Amino acid sequence: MIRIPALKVLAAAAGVCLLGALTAHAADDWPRKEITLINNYPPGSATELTARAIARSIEKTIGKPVIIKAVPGGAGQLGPAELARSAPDGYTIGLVGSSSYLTAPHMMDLPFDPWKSFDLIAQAAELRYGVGVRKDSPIKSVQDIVDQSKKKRLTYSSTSPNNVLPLFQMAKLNGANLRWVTFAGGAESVLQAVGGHVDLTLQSATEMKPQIDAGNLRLLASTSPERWPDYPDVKTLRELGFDYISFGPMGYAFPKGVDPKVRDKMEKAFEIALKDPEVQDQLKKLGVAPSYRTGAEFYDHMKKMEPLFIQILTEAGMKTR
Amino acid sequence: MEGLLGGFATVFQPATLMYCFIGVFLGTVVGILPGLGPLTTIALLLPITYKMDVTSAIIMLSGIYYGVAYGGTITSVLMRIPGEASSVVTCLDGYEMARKGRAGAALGIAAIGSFVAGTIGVVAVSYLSPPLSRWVLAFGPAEYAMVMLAGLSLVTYFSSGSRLKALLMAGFGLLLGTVGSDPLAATPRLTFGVFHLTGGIDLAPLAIGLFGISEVLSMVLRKKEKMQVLAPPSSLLGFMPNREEARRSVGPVARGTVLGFIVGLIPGGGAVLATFLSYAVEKKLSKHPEQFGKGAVEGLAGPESANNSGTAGAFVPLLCMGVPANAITALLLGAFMIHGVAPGPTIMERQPELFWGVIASMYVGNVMLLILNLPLVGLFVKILDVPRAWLAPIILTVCLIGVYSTNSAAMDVLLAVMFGVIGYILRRYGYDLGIVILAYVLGVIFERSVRQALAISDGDLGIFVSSPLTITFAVITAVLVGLAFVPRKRAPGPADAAIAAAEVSQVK
Amino acid sequence: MTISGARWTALGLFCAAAAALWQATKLSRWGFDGPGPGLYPQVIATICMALALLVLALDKGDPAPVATDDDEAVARYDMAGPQERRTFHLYLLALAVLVAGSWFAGFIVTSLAVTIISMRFAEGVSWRATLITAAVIALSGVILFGWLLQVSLPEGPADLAFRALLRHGGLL
Repeated sequence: MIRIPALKVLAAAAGVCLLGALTAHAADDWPRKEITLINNYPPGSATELTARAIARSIEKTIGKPVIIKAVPGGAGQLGPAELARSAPDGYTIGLVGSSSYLTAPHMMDLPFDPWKSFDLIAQAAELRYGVGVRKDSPIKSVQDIVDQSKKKRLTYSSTSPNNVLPLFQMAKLNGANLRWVTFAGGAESVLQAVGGHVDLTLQSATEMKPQIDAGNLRLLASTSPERWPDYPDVKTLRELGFDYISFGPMGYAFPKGVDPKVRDKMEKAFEIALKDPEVQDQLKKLGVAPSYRTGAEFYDHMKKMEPLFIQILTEAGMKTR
Repeated sequence: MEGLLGGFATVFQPATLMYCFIGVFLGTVVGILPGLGPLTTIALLLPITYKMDVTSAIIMLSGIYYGVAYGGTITSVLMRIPGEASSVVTCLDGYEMARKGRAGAALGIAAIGSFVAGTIGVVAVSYLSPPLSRWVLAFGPAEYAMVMLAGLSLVTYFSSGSRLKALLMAGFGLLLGTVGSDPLAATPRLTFGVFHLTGGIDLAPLAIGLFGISEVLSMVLRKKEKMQVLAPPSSLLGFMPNREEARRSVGPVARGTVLGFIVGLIPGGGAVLATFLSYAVEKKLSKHPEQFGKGAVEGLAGPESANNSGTAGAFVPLLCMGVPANAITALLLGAFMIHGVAPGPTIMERQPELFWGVIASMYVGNVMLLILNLPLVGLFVKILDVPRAWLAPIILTVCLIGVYSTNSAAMDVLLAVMFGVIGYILRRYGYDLGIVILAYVLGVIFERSVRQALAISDGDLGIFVSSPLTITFAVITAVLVGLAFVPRKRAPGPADAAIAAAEVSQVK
Repeated sequence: MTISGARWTALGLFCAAAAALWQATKLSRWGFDGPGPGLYPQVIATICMALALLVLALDKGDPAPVATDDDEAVARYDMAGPQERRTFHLYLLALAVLVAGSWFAGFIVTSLAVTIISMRFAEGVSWRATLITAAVIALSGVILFGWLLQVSLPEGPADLAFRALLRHGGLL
């Protein structure tokens, strides 16, 4: 008669212990399994290759694989949207570029609030951008874009609302008649210009370089603050008298609400990766400039840039939200 | 030719062959198991490939690729669960063949057809890549939109049952594809206030529901004694297709190969479209179209071949343009890049050994698949010996794992069950569900292309008939869609009778 | 006059398309840079509604009932005997349990429940064989997929307890 309740108490106690043991370990034994990294552009894009180079180093640090999941589309905003929807269990991270913070929220109805939806881990790199035309295009210079577009509207292909800012500004401030056509992937976007389906392309160095090297594409100008190291003779937009730049820092984040210990471990892994000369070398090969900031610094940097972007977007007539 | 031989020299080394074997083996296992996507597998294996040289790494990855594709064929034939969109067509006649006791033959023909098509596809890639890549360049948004439309209308035209219903299903496939975030502006659409739907409807709940679960419902309505499939033959030779089946497969394999290669060149969904088109073509050409959907060997051989040569075709835009056609070619691209190789127009001049190495590895992957799988077919077929009472809970659990694991969302399980019930009703009333999947898969690219084209032309619909290519596709579409409204000739063959029977109302 | 099943189906599709159109009308048709998110779904939904109406009008169904449906790819509910219908209903119940279970109860409980409903009640297999099979399916799911292959499975109290058990055994 006495034994049964005793057994019950024992069983209950054992159960409590088991459950307790389980929950206590949640942060300490991270990572238990592989990490999924959401990338906002299709495989082969500059951001994907950058992520891959960094992921290899992170895998070594944390001892679990990093899987790169491509979520392209929505002008690069479907990835962050999926990240914001993911569980903050420490096993999903994603690319959040300046576009999700500074440009897209003012132009599109996003299903997330960038300032509230993410726990930033680190800034990793800055992408280099340029504007190009197909080899037999009548457009020979940046000035030609403005002049010729006044006769007939020109179209340009690009993936993200961030890198196209110079052309928005050119349209507003120089009276150019331009139409942006969004593509999900950089290689695809560049091909449309090579095939003559759009007049111009504004894309990152990684995706334009193979076509430039093959002679199918002419680089008119670098839209980044400095010239491309591979084509030092091609001037920047600024040098050509158009004071507009593409601003392309890319960083990574957890969904909001992840365990701070886990976030710190991940930040450390990113720091190790980006200070690794081998990773830096790989990024340079891709035409991407390595540039590390901690999560907090990245957030502050964005916050500091916000007024400037609102001003540019308003000037360019693109601030619709 | 020298290049290709050089490629083979790199590939034919014991270690490399070993990697290829491991890749094919793991790929097949992954293709059969639910919940383990090829992406996860490759990612888990990727660290191993870091220490290898590029060629070995890529050979192993392409081995996995072929293995996964074949694993999907196995589940499609045995359980009517398509692993990916390109094996949906395989479900139609492959599964019916299995129900008639020809599962071994179905798997055998699929393996051989894939091998033949893959081989020819690889040869075509090696000789035709440079000229073909120019063809890819001719495709702008308007051309993409029109070729998708023409492909869809071709498939609906040749569908079983009422063409009107097929058109309706195509429409619903396109609608399902729009659920979730807008592909250009990220605005959530058609979510009915359900938060989970802002991420869209995944292929897993849709395909597993419409095909796997709806079949469980149909299966349990039959009398138990009639469920018993014919016992599969016990000798190895018995698993090979018999002479009649082999003879009937020759034409479909040849046509599927050519068709698959050409359609596969279209980046994004090319290989999927190819499988459906091949099925349509075979049905049109067949002397006994009434057998289609009831275990016609042509309906299996053609699409399986088209799928494989389509995959080879997809390497043209990948290697020459750097545009990957699907998740796996994309991973291969990633593997290239990490080793400092940039695919693009200059790859053949700058890295000929790599280009030819990849080609040769595709070939070896195909051979490996054949060697590995033909003896195993007998083992796979044994699953059909399991009585329904045991098989059904296994299938349901497999569906649960496969559907849940994609997003770790119970909502997806609900969606899959809903699609299962709806799918059963629709099949019961003669709607062709394969078209739903095709339209769903092509829908995203179709919409994106339509909108890009309209953005370029500033709303002028004339852009869709502005080049010889678009005009051709537009004419095909117009004729085929127009014919859907013309009732079929009333000379009912057995197939028509079956369709009519399926449409019988419950009025008595 | 009764409405035939075929017509009910077409009507259902019409309503689904109408619901989609209603959802899509909230979205803009044209934006600053070309077509907006609403244009395409609105057009497609309208086409679907028109097609569903056509099917509704034309699909009278064939008045001659067939004697047997053995050759058909899809088994028909109206042709099935009472025994088969009962099995069918129990499988529908199993599917409902599959959904509810993955929502609330976790993988182990769900797969056990689904197996028991389908094998014991729907198919009439003996309790002994049912329970053994159920245990094998649930355990192989948890061990092979959940633990060895790290596939994510629904989690409930039973799954957590099982994992804790593995952990204390030093296996995790």
